[in-house]
Amino acid sequence: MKKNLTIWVMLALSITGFVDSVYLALKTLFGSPITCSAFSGGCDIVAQSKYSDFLGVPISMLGVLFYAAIIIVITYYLQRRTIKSLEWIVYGLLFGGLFSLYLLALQAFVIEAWCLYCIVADAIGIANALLAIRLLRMK
Amino acid sequence: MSNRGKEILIWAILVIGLGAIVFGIYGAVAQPGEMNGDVSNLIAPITADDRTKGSEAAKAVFVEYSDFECPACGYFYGMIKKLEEEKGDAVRIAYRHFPLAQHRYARVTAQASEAAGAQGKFWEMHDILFEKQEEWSKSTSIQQNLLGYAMEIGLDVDQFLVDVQASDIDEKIDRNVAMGTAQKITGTPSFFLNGKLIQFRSYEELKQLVEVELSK
Repeated sequence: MKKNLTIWVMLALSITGFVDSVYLALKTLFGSPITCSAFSGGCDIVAQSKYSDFLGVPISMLGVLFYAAIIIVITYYLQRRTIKSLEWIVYGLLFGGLFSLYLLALQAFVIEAWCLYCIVADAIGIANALLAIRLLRMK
Repeated sequence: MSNRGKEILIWAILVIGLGAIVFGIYGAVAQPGEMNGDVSNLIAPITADDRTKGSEAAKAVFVEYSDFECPACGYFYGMIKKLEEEKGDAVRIAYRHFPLAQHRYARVTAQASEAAGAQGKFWEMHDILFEKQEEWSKSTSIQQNLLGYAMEIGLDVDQFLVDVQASDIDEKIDRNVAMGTAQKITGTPSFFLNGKLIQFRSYEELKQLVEVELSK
């Protein structure tokens, strides 16, 4: 995969991740009062667990900020093509991939419940990190 | 267009696009109850098939779609219980099963409650299941837990073991699920008060809703 295409795929994945995280965050903040949703899979269990916060901020909110930041930096890179912005993308996505692995491990081994929307966001995080590793090798 | 103009245009599209995503999703999730106007009316009234408690002359009649393993149902159980104690005959409640796929013991506990119901002790099993939800939902031997509760509320245990697996009980749960699905309920618990879908977050809010009905 060429470098340019890799970046565009990263952008598309990040937009998907953004949509997914926005849904989760808004659901957490404004959704109906505590219910077990018929459509969310295990999202209630995951979202109501004590691991759904990181230093007081809902994880889904961190996802929104993370994907928004990545989208902004990628857009900047596509215009200016600076090495610095490319580095920000690569290291940002590597960090995001590691954090996604941590969240998947939490669901698998600690909470013992899966939330589809979280899995989508985490899978995108990992896919983006793999693409970032690919970019690093191309340099 | 100049390069600078193009850059500004791209950033504007980006900001508007991300904003539109946020607002679009906000509109979809913010008020689930009020969005579906037509499904907020109860479509299946109480029949003899329903498990009910309280006086038939009650002025506040609840229909609840619930799942014994749902933590939220456990949370609201306490409020309903308190309401029954406080309002007595003024309140009637019908319980309908809506076991959710993500809860591994939701179905078997629904079956256990109906098996207890066959011996006239549905509500006793209902109460003990909610009160001990934390205990059995984490259990690796649910059969043992259920047997224990059956003994605790004084059931004929041999009969209970037969009834738990009875096909008519299974069919009844399916009928309840079909009603809930037709009602398009989005989760559990879903409460209908005098035929109207209601939402409340605290006991005070629940009491207020009931008092409005009682004053009619």
